[in-house]
Amino acid sequence: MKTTPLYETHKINGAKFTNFNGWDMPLWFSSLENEHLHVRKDSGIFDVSHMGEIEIEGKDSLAFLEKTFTNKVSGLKNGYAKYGFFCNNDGYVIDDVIVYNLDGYRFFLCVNAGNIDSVEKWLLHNTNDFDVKVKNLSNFYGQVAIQGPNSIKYLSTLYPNSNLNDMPKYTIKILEDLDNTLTANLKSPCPNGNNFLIARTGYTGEDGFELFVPNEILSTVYEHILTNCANIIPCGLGSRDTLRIEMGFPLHGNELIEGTTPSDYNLDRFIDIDREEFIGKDAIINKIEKNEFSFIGFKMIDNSIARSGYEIYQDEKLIGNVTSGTFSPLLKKGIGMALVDSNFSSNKNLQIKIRKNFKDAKMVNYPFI
Amino acid sequence: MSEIKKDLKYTEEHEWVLKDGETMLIGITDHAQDSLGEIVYLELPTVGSSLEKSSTFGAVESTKSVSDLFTPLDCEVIEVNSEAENAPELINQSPYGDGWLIKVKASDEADFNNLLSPEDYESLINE
Repeated sequence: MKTTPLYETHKINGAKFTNFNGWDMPLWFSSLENEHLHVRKDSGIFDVSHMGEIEIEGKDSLAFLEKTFTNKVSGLKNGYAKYGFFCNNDGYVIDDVIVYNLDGYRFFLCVNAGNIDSVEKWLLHNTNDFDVKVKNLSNFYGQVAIQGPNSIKYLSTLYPNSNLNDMPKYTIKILEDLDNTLTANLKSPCPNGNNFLIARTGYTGEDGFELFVPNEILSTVYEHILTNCANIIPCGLGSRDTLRIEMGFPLHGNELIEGTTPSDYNLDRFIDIDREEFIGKDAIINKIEKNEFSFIGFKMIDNSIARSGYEIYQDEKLIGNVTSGTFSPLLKKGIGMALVDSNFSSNKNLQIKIRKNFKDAKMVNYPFI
Repeated sequence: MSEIKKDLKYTEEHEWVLKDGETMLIGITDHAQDSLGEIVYLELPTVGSSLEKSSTFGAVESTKSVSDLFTPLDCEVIEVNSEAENAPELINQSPYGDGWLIKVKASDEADFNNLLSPEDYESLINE
């Protein structure tokens, strides 16, 4: 299994590990629930170095993204980011990514761990008519996410030269503080310059930052944060998942699966349908017209947890499946999202088959908190 | 390190069995509760039900995962731990004590001897 440069540090910090897409990653340290609740009220740090980073560079990079990305990138100011999808011709999501506009000429993509190779391949496959380079920087960059309402307070003190207080949400910039102190020690410099990037983005629903740091110095940076910010606790992928489910954020593989398009998940705001052409557009429009599915949030009435794949019934008829489900550490109840037949009735309870029994759930809006 | 009690027998599915005269107590091991994390729900059978060896008799749910409970030997349920049903964290706090799951009467007491010894269970979880 692959490990991140923080593996030994995690062991010392008492991590319980799990295999995630071929990576041996911390699932939790002391307790998933504590980590979850601490991120909601204070802040925590996640090792997300398994995530991939791809840079698109060149004269035609903007035009290339206009053809391949579902969301509108033209007009995006330098330093700003947009969430959206790379879809194939069937409208199926190859990956959901954040595209960061570094300088109008270089675009930095954060992609899911399990999709790095398929995204890279697919992008390269589509570069024919464009003067662009697709650079996979995933082996160079590690990534840590500091998430929680207090993360701005701690990080702006730790990195005074980067003016993080003035940084709007969904932007990215060079983390000046790291550049100054650590550049000289890098044995293998970044292929695109020694830029350690910081973005005000995340996957928890809380304010927070994601740091893209060369693997070589990742543990120095990570330990520096933990040593100097006593209230930032190490968190594992367990709470990362429960935090994103409480927000109703999709996870590629659970949601956004083959046979569906982003429009099936109420994600139309990330699809710039007015644009003349982009890959997958026709299939997405067909899917919107077909209106096959509804993507809903639900809350368990019974004391039970519905998990990914469980069948959902209404009036004894199978109407769909749970896509993501968990116990909400904040609500102390089972919650989840589901893809169901669009003809379902929103004012009647749902019955979810949990092992041999049917448990009642009701439809609720998400975010759940 | 997970605790393994010397006076108990074990199963490959991480249950323990305590023989107490004619009845037996069944629970999940310290290793099992530690792997699951904080347990939030517990499903147990009804008193009086007959259980067949290797069949599932319930489930423990943590935030992250669910784990079926497997019957260690043919038996009849004579009591369930309703306190643990109401407060499943007891299983985390005291897997060999207050966090026990069911009390049973074995169909054939000899089946008890075929369960794993503490030493065998220890080597199983250290594999």
